[in-house]
Amino acid sequence: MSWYGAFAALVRVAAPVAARVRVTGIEHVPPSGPFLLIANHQGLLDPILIQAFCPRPVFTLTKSSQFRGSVFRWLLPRLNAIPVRRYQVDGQVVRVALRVLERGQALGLYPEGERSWDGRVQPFRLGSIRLMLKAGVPVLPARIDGSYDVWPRWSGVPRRAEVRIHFGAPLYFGRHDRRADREAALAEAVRRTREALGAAA
Amino acid sequence: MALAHFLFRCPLCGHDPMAGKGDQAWCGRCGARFGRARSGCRIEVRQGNEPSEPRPAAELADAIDAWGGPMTAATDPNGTIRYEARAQARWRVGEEAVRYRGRLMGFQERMGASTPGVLRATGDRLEFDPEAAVPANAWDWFELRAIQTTSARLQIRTGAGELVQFRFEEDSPRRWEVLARRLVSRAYDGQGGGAVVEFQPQIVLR
Repeated sequence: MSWYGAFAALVRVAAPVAARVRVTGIEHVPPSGPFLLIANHQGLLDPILIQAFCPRPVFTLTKSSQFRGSVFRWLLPRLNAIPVRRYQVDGQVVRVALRVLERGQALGLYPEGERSWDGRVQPFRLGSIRLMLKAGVPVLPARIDGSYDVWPRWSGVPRRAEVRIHFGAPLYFGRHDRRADREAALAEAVRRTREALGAAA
Repeated sequence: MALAHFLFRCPLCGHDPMAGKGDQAWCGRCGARFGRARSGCRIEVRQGNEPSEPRPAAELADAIDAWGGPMTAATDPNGTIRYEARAQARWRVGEEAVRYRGRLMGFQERMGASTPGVLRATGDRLEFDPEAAVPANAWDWFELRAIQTTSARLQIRTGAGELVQFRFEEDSPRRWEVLARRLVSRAYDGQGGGAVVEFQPQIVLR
C-alpha cells in the first residue's frame, strides 16, 4: 500500500474521533481520467478529509510553508501534496499541476487560497480559475460544511462536530489555450464554480 | 490563534480592542461575551444576564466592518493614520527545492531568525522598527506586491523581492491584514490608480 493509501485509510478510521463525516455524491467522481477537484475551505481538516473520502487519489496544492522541517518535507510529497508559494505567481506549480493532469490523475484546488475566517466562501484567487481553464479537464465541485465547527481558523483546539462533504456534478469549461480566451471565460467560470459550491456570486 | 483575533473589536458596540483567551472573547465596554458555538459557523453571544444566542460568524464579521473595522483605532481625531503593535519579523533568506522521486515538485521558502520590534502602519507606509540597533525598514504601500495572512502571521512581499512575515505578540493578524489591505487600497485610490481587486498572490488593480 502507498503512503497515500495508508494515510487515507488511517484518516477514515480515525476521523470519527474528530468528526461525524457524511459523504454524498460519490457517484459524481469520475472513475477514470484527469479531473480538478475544487473545494471551499472552512477548516484545517478539509484537505485531509477530502483526500481520505474521495474514492480517487487526489494531489493537493499545499502552501509551501507546510513543507518546513525535515519530517513534513519528507512526508507531504508522499501524501500527494504539491508546494505552492502563495505570495507570488508560481509558475512551477502550474507546470507540476498540468503534469499531474496529463498523467490522468486528480488535482485538488482550494480557490479561496486560505481558510475562511467566518465560514463564508471567500473571493476566489483567479489564478486557480485560470489553471482550471487552461487544463480543460472536468471540474468536480466538492462542498464542505461543518469543518468550521470542528476547527475554525481562529481556534487552537478541534472539537467534534458533523462534517458533510458533497461531490457535485462535474462542470465542463473546455480547454482555453490562449490567454485571451481564458480571460474572456474567467468571469463565467468563477460564477459557475461558486454556484456549484453554494457560494454567493 | 484566538477568537479575539477574529473578533478584534466588539461587533455589538464597536469597542476596540476586544479581550479574550482561546475560544472566549469579551468586550471591556459593553460586557458582551463571545464563545464558540456547536454548529453552523456560529458564535455564542451573551449580553448581561441574557441567555446566550448563537449568531452567524459572518454576521459578526460584517458588524465589525460596519463599525469601521481596524480603521477607527488606527485613525486619530485629526484624521492621521497611525497604528502599531509589537511583532517578530522574519525575512526569507532563501528557497529550497522540494523533490520527490527525482522530480521537482516546487519550492519552499527558508526564513531567517526572528527579529523583535514594532510594526507600524501609517497613511503612507508600513514600518518595522527592530529593537536591536539596526536600521528600521519602511515600505511605501505602493512597494508591496502581495499581502496575506498565513496561519497567525501577516506576510508581505515587496517590489524588491523581499518576503517578510510578522508574528504579533498580542495583536490580531486578521486586524493587520484588513488594515494593510485598506491602506494599500486607499493609497492607490488616492492616486487614481484604480481599485485593488486581488492582494495575493499579487496585488492587482482594475
